[in-house]
Amino acid sequence: MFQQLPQRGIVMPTELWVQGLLNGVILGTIYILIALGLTLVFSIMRIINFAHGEFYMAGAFLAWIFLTRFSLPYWLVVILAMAGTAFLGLVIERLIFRRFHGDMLGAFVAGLGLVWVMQMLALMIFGTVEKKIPSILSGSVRIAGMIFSYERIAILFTGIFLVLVLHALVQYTAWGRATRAAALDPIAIQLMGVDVKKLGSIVFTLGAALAGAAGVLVGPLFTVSPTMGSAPVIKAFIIIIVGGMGSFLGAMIGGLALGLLESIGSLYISSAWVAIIEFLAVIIVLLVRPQGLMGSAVE
Amino acid sequence: MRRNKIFVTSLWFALILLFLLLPVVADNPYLLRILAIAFMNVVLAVTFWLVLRAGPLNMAHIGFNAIGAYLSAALVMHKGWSFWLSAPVAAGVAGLCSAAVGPILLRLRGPYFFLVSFAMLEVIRLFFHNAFPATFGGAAGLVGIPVPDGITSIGLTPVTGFYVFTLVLAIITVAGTARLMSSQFGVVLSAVRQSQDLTAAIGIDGNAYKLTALSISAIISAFTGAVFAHFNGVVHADDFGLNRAVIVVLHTVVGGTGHIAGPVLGAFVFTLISEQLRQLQSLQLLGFGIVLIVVLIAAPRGLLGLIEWIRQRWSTKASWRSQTVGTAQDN
Repeated sequence: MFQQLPQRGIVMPTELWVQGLLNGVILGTIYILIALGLTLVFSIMRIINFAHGEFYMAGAFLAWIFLTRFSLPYWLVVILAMAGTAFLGLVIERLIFRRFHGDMLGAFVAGLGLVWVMQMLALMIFGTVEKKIPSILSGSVRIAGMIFSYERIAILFTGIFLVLVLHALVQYTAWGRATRAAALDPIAIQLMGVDVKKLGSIVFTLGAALAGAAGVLVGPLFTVSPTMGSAPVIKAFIIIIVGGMGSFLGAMIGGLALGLLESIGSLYISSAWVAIIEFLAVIIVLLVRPQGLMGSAVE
Repeated sequence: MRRNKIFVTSLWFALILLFLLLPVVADNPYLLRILAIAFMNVVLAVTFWLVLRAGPLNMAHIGFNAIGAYLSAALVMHKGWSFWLSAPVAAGVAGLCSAAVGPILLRLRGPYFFLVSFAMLEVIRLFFHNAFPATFGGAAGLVGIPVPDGITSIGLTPVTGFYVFTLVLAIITVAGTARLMSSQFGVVLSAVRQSQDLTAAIGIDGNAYKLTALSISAIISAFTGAVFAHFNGVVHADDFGLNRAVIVVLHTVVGGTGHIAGPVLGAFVFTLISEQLRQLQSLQLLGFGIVLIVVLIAAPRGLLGLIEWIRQRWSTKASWRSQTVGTAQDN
């Protein structure tokens, strides 16, 4: 993903590093948004939606439509795209994943099929030509001799804002308490009168909206294409494996680490080698902690 | 029951005889090539199913296929080895890889194994796509891989050679896997899938069984990759990506995972169908995705379950017996 960013060039080394750091944090935030949805859904439904990256793709396409065809303001585009992917998530949960509550294998395979369905639908609707979302903010600010574009700063803060909102929801609402409790013990929470199916529906919808938001945010940085969801969802898988399935904190740590590793690493070696090193790092982490950094053992 | 068994066995033999005689009767290169690809897919689906039988959904299966294809092709093209040496060596290397990575991967259960094996598939693809471009051809892949030596000198055309080779490979793999699964090894393998903790309680090291299954499947997958590379003449890293891996899953699931006949049937039938739908391109994948989801929801036991259901409807008298057969198949 990173090689599409224009920062590679002959610049001062420190500036390169700081830019790399900023890009890494942005990339990490995007990954966290995708991974949080996956990990939330896992904690309630005990499944992994392999087609989660397609919500990210759908979000980016929705943003492209709203920005180029209707030229709506950016904040409205973010909200509308999130609402659109949330609705998509709700429909898909009702039609498909509700039946696979707790059936890991069935959900995997259904997700694999869904990847094809959604990618090919996008291909038929939007064609193979990659779309470019116009820049949302122009201009830049100079801090200590280094240039930061407003656009990147805006993207970063929107992403952090969304993560904080989700964190507040999970920590301080009745719904969030039920979610955390269901992750700990799905049977006990049902005895307390909580409808776990409904909870699953909510987290699935929420996860889709978050992935959609990630798609909107990266729109101005990368190009938009039907297969754009495949690469980041692999990263999100790596993040939740390393961070521990179902762990909020683990996803944050993993996402940030991966984003930084990728953007700093890409300054020195090609992104394919970074991916190979990442995989080896995952293997090493799993050797030490088979349940991930923050996770508890799953059966 | 015994008459039934004799019937099934003679059916298999008739089928094999038919396929062996086919190139003599109908020397149609297009047909032979499609059937050869179908046999290859049968081998891949059956070996994938072998690991699934023990529990893990191994997405790296096609990665081992890539290792076999690339290594064998590179050994023949750059070192001047004979195919008859390079293919077993490539398969052996893939087996060693699986034996090295397997113990780490198999400590992971359920979702962790699936996701890491998927990441491994991606890494193998990226490796052949980017590493050592002088040896593995980089993004362009390897082109002009020679047909196994000796095939043309015994009077076979490359296509007929491909056909015979994959047919024999499919027969050996299916018969071997069926035998393995009905042996004590197979019974333990299924038991480990159903509850690794319970098997551990009676002193069975489930991971050792899983590792054996994984290594066998990796070796055969890699050997199949080598055969494909030499008869196809071209290998390309992107042919060993997610889509290819999902097609193997599709074959197995649509056929039915309850019995070895499932992946055989699924791979064979589905390859022939998809070959007919090739010109539809993106519509084809869309259709496959829908088929996969619908089969999962409406007929989770796949084609096999469908056949069983029809047989049950046919013989209502013995319906209680079919039901016991049905549950026996699930074990």
